[in-house]
Amino acid sequence: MNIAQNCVVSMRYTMKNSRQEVLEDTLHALPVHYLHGSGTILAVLQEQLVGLKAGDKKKVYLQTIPGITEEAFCFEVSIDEVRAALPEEIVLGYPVQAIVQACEADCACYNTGR
Amino acid sequence: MKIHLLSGFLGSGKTTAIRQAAGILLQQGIKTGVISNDQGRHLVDGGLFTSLAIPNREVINGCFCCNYKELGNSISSLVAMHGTEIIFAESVGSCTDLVATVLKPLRQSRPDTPITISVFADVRLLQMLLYKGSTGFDETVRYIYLKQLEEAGTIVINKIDLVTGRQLLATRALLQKKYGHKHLLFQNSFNKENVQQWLNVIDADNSASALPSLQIDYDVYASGEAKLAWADRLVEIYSADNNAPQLAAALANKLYAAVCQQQYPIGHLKFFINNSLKISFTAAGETMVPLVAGEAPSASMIINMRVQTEPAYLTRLTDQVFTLFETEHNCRIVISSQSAFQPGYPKPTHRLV
Repeated sequence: MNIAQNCVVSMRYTMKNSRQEVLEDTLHALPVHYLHGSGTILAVLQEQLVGLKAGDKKKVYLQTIPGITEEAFCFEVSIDEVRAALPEEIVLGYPVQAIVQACEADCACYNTGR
Repeated sequence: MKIHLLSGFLGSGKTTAIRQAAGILLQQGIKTGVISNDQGRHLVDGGLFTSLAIPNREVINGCFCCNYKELGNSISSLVAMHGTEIIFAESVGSCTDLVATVLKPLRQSRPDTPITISVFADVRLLQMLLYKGSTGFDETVRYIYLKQLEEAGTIVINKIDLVTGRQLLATRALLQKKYGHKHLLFQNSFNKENVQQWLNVIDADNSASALPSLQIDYDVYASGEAKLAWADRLVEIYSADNNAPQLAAALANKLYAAVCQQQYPIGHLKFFINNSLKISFTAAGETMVPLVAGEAPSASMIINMRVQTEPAYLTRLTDQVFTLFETEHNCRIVISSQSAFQPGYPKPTHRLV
């Protein structure tokens, strides 16, 4: 399934500023979910994700936007899953059914057992 | 964009106020985000905001002042990804000196961004302090509590629904005497009108530039933080009787009872069941544990405990409760992650006097 209006997208990303400093890295954390077409994530970012499918990777750019951000950023996005939104998710404007993926082996989580 | 910093001791109701405020603002179409902060890394609050679809970030493994860069990155990330217009940044409850180490550096790096600070206090803990001169905590922990109030421009006296009208009047009079020069707000953070009033106050607040940095003894501050034990666990509860969610709530109750029995002063105990139900207990008293509905063979639970004792004691106590609980309720508790520690010496990235 490709990203389009009313899809729930599950993704991870690395966010860098114009000096190439990593500000955020969710590649080894739980994915972020959003309803494509809702206002949860900036429209200018969503537009660049249209057509991507699970497994795709893409660099997404955010230029300065007066009144919102004075800096430019780059996101290296990795799409985990794309699914059709449930009717209630379209009404609410956000996903209610989390797609939880197990962390990678090098995730910060660790098992201790007892 | 505006940034509202929240300070205040563990269990003072900061998260509840933010949850309510974010709900009000999002309903008004104002893009709102939250930055949670803690010394640990698996947080109930981050899970709570995610479950409510409120854009949020976590600054973990230390307070904002010692992780200032991460705080800045989280602000940038919320703005860049979500176009956030109002950010609530909630500092960990054992932290103080925010004016010098967070507010002033933020004002310097973001001169065009209005920034406010509100210090929250549980009215019942305040009463204990004002009437008995003690909160049950060590003197050094009390020092942190008082420093938090001292640096406030606005003090939100929270949970007023949990005291009688007469008690509130008496407390109000005492507070006016001691902190009358500050903006005092009396609030029940479950009440939308109360929270809207707080939002109105901080929206119009431009006093942050006039707030002086604290004169503070970092050795005493560090000693107070080190009196507190942090214990976090991620667990999965398996029940042969298909009642795992109910057992999770019962386990939260058992842990609270066990900590009380040991007479360890409680900062807070927070539990988050199945990424949807939050239960919390604080220093000033117990919460009502909700009736948990639904049948299921398993339930997940995040446990965050902040208690005045040694981490090893808290770990041992938790293990004992788990073992007993498994036997009593014919269930299995599997721990997927656990940590227990004392906060380290605070080393702020910046400190502007």
